[in-house]
Amino acid sequence: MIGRLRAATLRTSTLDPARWARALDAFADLGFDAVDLCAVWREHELGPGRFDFHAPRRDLAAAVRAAHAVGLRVLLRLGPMATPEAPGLGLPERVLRDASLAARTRRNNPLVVPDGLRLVPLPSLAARGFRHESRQWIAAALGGLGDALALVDRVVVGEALPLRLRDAPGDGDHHPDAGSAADADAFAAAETARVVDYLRELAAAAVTAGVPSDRVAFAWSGPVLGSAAAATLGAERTLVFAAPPPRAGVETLWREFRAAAALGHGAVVTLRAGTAPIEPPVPSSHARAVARIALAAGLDALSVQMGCAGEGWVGALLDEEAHPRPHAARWRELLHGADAMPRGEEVVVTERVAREALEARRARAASNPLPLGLLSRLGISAAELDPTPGTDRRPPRADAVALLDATDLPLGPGFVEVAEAEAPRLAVEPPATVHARCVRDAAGTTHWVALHDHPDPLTLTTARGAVVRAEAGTPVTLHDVEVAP
Amino acid sequence: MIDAGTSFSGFDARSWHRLVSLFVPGLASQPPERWARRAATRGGVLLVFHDGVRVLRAVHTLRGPLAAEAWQGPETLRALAARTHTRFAVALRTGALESFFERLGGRITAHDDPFVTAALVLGVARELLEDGAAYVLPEVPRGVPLPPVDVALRAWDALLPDGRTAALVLFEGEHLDTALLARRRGLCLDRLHGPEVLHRLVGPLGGDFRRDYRVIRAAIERDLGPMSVGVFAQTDTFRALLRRDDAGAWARAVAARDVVVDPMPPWFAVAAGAGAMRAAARRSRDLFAGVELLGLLDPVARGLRVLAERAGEVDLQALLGFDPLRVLSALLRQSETVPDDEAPDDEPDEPLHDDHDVV
Repeated sequence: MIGRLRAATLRTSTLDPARWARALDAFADLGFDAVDLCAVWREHELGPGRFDFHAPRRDLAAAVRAAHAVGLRVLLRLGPMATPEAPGLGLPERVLRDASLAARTRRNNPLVVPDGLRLVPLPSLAARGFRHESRQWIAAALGGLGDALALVDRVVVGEALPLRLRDAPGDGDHHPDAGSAADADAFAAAETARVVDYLRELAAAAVTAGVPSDRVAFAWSGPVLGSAAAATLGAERTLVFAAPPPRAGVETLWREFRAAAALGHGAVVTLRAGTAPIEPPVPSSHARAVARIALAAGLDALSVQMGCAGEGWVGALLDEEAHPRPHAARWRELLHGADAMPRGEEVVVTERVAREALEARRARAASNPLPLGLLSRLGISAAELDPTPGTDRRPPRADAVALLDATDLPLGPGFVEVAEAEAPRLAVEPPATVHARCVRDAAGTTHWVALHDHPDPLTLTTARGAVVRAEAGTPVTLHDVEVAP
Repeated sequence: MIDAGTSFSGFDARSWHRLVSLFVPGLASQPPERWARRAATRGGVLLVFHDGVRVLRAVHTLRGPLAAEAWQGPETLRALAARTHTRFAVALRTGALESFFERLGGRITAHDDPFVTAALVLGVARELLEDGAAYVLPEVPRGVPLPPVDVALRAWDALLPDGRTAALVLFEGEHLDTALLARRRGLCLDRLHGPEVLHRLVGPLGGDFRRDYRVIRAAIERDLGPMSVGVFAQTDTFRALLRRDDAGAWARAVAARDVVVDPMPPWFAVAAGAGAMRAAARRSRDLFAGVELLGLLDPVARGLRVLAERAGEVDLQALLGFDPLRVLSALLRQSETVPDDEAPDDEPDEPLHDDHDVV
C-alpha cells in the first residue's frame, strides 16, 4: 500500500531548470511531501535506441536528487504515454508513424485520435512491435537515472491514452496481432485482457531494470468504477488514476473515489489544478471541490497536476516563474484539513458486480463504449447509456449506510464488510441521497464522513444523537459520541 | 492554429475560464454539487443513438435519459429536441462513429497541417450527414460548399498576417479581467499569452482601457512585434456584442468608444457593419444630394463615418461565403447555458473539516 502521499507535479521539460529548486521549495512550503515527475519518451529519444538523459531539461536524475534534498519523495511516471498533454501522445514521431505499430480499423485503416489540432494514429497495445518498443523505453529511462533510481519512491508505468469515441461493439483495435473475437462479449473481454497484459509487461520491465516490485505502480487513464480491467490491476499494484472533472457531479465523484480507495493495493488520485489549453477550462474553486470529495471519500494518496509546468498549462499551483499563485494557499489549507480526517477501519455495505458482468454490460451498452471520461465531462454517468435503465443513481433514503461499489475481488486492507441490516446508520432529514463513509477508530468510536448534493441543507444524526447540518457539496464529519441532554 | 511549438503561458484557471466561456459558454465548468440541479439548467445537448429502427438510447447532457422507442428519421430528433427545449442535438446511427474514423484514417496523412486536417474532418462529417448516418440540430444547410483549404488560408492571412500579433484585452471595471495575445509565425501561432504575461510586459495600469490601450499596445509591440489588431473593452460589453445580431452594433460600439480597436484592420471595419453604414450613407446622399445626413455635430455619427471610410477591400464574408461574426453571434445566442458565477480564486473557501461536528 502506498499510504499517505501529497504530491505535486513538476514538468521538468517545460520549466526552466534554474527554477526547479524554487518550485520544489514552494511545494514543501505548501505542505506537499512528494513530487510527481514524468519522463516523456518523445522528449528523450534522439533516435532508435539512443536517448538523452543529461541535457538540462532532460536531466531527470538531477530533478530526483533535488527533490530528495528538500525532503520530498518522488513519484516517477514513465508511460510510454506518460502524460496526456504531451504532444504526439508522448511518443517519438518514428513510433507514431510506424504503420506496423498502429491500431487498425476493421478495414485496416489506422485508428486516429486527436493530438492538439491534428490527428495521429493510436498505437496498438496488441502489436508485438509496440510492446517491445515500450519495454525498451522503460528499461532505457530507468537506466538513465543511474544512482538516482534508488531515490525514487514509486515508478508508475502505463497508459495515459487519449479519449476515443466509438459506438459499435466491434469498433476497436483490429491489428493483426489482436486476433479475432466471436462476438461483442468476447471482443470486450479480449480488450480487457490485452490492456491488463500490456501493463503487466511494463511492470515486469521495470522490475527487470532494478525497481523493487513493491515500488512499481500502474497508471490508469479510464474510470475505476465499472471497469473490470481497473479492478484486476488494482488487485495487483497501486493504481494511479485521474479524477473525473467537476461537472461529473457529487455522486459520480464519490463513488469513483470510494471504489479506488477500496482497491487491494490502494490508489493515487491525480487531481487537477488547471488544465491543458486544449481541454475545457476548470476554475480552481471547482478543482478544489473535487479534491475535497476525494479526501472525504478516504483517498489518502493524491497528486496535484500541475504543481508547476512552466509553459503549456493553465492554472498550475505555481506560475511559470515558480511563484505560488493566489489559489495555491487554498490548496495548502485543503491538505492541512485532510490530515484531520478520521482514521481506522472502514465499515462498509458492498454492492458487488462481477467483473464478467461489467464487461458484458460494456459490450452491450447502446453506445459501446463511449469513453466514460468523455461522458463525465458532459455530466453523463456510465449507466445512463446502459440498456438496463435506472441502475445507476442511488435513491433518496431516510437513513444512510456506507455503501461501496465493488467487484468480485477482495477489498483492500482496512475494510470490513457488513450486511445492510447490521450496518451503522445515519438518519437523514429530509430523506435524500447521502454518500457516507463509516470509520471505526482504535477505541471503537464510530465516525462518519458524509456528503450530498440535495438542493436544501440536510440534518444528519448518528445513533447516539450527534447531529450536523450539511450543505450541498461540503463534506462533514460526525463523531458518534453520546450527546449530553 | 497551434502546434507543438506554440509557447502558451500567462493564464491562471480563472482568466482562461473567463476567456473560453465568452466564446464557448457550453464549456463552462460546473461545480460538483450543481449536477443535481442540472435538469433545471437551460441549454445542453441531446444525444440520440439508434439503429435505423429503434432508438437505442436518448440522453440529454443536463436532463439525463429520455424515453423514446421508434426511430422515424430526423423527425424523431426534432420531436425529442422540442420536448426537452434543446437547440443542439446529435443523432447517430450505430456504426456512424466507426465509419467516421474509418474514413478519416483512410485519408489522413502524416504531413497534414491543421487546415487540411480541419477540412478532412468537416468533409467526412458532411458525408455522414448526407448519408443519413448522422443528424444534427440546428440543421446544416445542404449544398453549401465548405471553403476550400486555399480560401481558408487566404482568410487566415487576412485575419492575422504572418509575423503579426493580435490582442484581446478585457477589463472588469478598472481591473484587467482576461486577455489573449496571439502571434503568428508561418502557418501557426507561435506565442499565446494571457494576462499574467501582459502584466509583466506593461506593469501597473491606470484603470481606464480607453487610455491604457496605448500603453498596452506599445508594450506588446516591444515584446512580440507589430500588431495587426487589438481589441480593448469591458468584458460584459464584449460578451454582449458577440451575441448581437444587428448590423452595425460593433461599429456603434467602436464609434462610442465602448470598444477600442487599435490597430484596426480593414476586415474589422467591414465585419463591424461599417460597410452597411457606408452603403446607407451613400444611399442617403443620393436621395438628398449635397446634404450630409451623417450628423455633423454628433460625435458618434462622426465616428461612424470615420469607421466606414476605413473599411477596405478585404471582406471575409465574400472570401469565405459566410460572415464569421454573424455565425458566431447566432451560435452564442442559441447556446443558453449560463456560466456559473463562481467566486474568484482569492476568496475564502469552505474549510474541509468543520468543527461543528456535535450539536
